[in-house]
Amino acid sequence: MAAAAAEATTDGGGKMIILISADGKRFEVTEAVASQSQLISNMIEDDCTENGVRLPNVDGDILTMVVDYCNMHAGDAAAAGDTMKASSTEEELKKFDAELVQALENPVLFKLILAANFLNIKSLLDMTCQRVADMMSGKTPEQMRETFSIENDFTPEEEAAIRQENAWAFDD
Amino acid sequence: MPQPKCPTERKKADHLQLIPCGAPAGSCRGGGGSCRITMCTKIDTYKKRQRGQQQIDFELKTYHRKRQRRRGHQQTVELPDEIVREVLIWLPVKSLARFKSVCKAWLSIISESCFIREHLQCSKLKRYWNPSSFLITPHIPLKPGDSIFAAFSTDIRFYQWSLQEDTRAAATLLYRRHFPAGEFELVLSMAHCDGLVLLPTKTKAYVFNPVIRDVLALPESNRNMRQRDICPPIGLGFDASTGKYKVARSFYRSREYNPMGIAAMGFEVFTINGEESCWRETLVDPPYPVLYSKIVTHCKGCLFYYIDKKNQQNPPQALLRFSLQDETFGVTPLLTDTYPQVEDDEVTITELGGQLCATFFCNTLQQVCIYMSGDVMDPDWNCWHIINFMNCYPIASLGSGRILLRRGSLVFCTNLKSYSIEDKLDIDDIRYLGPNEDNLGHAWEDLCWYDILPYTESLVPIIPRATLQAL
Repeated sequence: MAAAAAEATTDGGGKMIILISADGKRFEVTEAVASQSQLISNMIEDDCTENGVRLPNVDGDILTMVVDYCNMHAGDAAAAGDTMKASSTEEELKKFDAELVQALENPVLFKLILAANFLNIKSLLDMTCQRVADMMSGKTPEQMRETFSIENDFTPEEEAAIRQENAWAFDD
Repeated sequence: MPQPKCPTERKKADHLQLIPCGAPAGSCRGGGGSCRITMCTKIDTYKKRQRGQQQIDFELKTYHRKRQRRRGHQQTVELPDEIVREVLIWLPVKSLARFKSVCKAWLSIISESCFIREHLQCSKLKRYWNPSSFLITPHIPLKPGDSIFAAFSTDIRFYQWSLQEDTRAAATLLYRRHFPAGEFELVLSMAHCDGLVLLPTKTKAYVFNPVIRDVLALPESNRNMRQRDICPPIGLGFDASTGKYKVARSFYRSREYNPMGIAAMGFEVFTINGEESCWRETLVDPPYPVLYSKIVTHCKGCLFYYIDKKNQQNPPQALLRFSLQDETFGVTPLLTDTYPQVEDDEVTITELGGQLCATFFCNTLQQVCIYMSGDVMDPDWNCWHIINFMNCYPIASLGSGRILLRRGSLVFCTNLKSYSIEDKLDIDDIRYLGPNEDNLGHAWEDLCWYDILPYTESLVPIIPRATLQAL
């Protein structure tokens, strides 16, 4: 195997992988951290991470968050074994997760969702989707159309019929 | 975690595939300075679902309208439908019912049977994380002071109650259905499965999904020859092989009661949203008659009934098990090796955290023993807990080693680690809030008894939706 930077070995013994964001920022992470992304895990299996993994869909600031998340959660990934991060307790993880998404608003939150989906990190996708759902739950259909830039394609009659059928859901 | 997705029902960014989008993956597009994140890389990996031309036209149309609106925005990020779906799955039922009127695409997502199942899995997961939601239904006799064998009010109310510190003092009316006076008299214990509630009465049985306001009066059946005297226990459960919910009950084949004989019984099943809207007799009869005075428990796709041992030679110390999938019977041994001296009908059977739970008062110990088994076919009954409190049985597991127990009108939390009773609550002390009952404190003075059910809200429909079919 080539002794490329991306294959450098750390003190901990894990292989390192370079992730490259859309705007060219480089992140060096261990295989254990990176393989929480199913996409990268598959790439590792296929042996195509030597020259770094280019992620043209993910901006540097979003990738920073993703890498932070993966570093933090490396302990509970099955393949991680006894990495140094394995000491993160469940409490700490919960706190970290809550703080990560709590501060985020649209569009950063949406970008993070898209990144989690693209990289296929199920737990991060679930967490960010839940955060959006929490923000949506008390909203009206009109506010939803605004947030998601959706045009109302019902005829007034159709909309009235659906609202009628679910009238109870509009009570406070 | 939510169950794996059903591939045929999913919309994998279809609208992105349909756009004549020349831009390479991840590039910024013009449009008044707006930056769209296109997921073109994903497009290659997703197989396009075969869809009708009409639907494709519709999606193209909405997409173009969406894009027009985008111009002029500083920076917006659009989520493809497949991700919108991932977000919607986490919403409460009430929000989803409201968001059906957002647009046709959302209506279609929220109404898909696959979405409904995935939403239920999320709902169960939320309950697992925070198992504090319950449904309380009071039963009030028409004439105050009457016993439970008298006529009950036909005004059925479901109150949602959360055991959390800040909400436990009050329960909120979730749904109320006032049936015509005299439609039924005696009401029996309710059962819950995936957001559906079964209300058996002396004459009729009803299934509710209270959060979406669905009610189904099950059809009558003339198979039970002793309808006037006895209504055999009735159970509700899920058949994973068909994805349908089924109600099952036994019936007496003979009008006459023979004090020296063994009752001849058959079994009938009603499938909710099934092809036929009537009760269907099972191909095989139960191997033992069912004890009528007991309630039915649903666990892992099976219903559990008590066996009527009267006049039987060497009856098994067991529960009668009915599989909702293949509609056959079996017996599940009940504490045979552990407590042979305990009679089956002295054991209270409940479902607790997906396991079968047997609770009984042990005379020798003078304590209540709770046994659990994860295997419902060939159970490995393990003593889970012993409680110094008489006449109680568990209603729900509350996580972190805590369970909620019921004794009469009392519910209390007990900590299995510290063996201590943490909270005690009288159901009479809860305030019941509804449109007409605000600030009244107790909703009913004459409460006779009540049902309290661990509750997971769901979108599972009981009756077909007319509006959706028209669109």
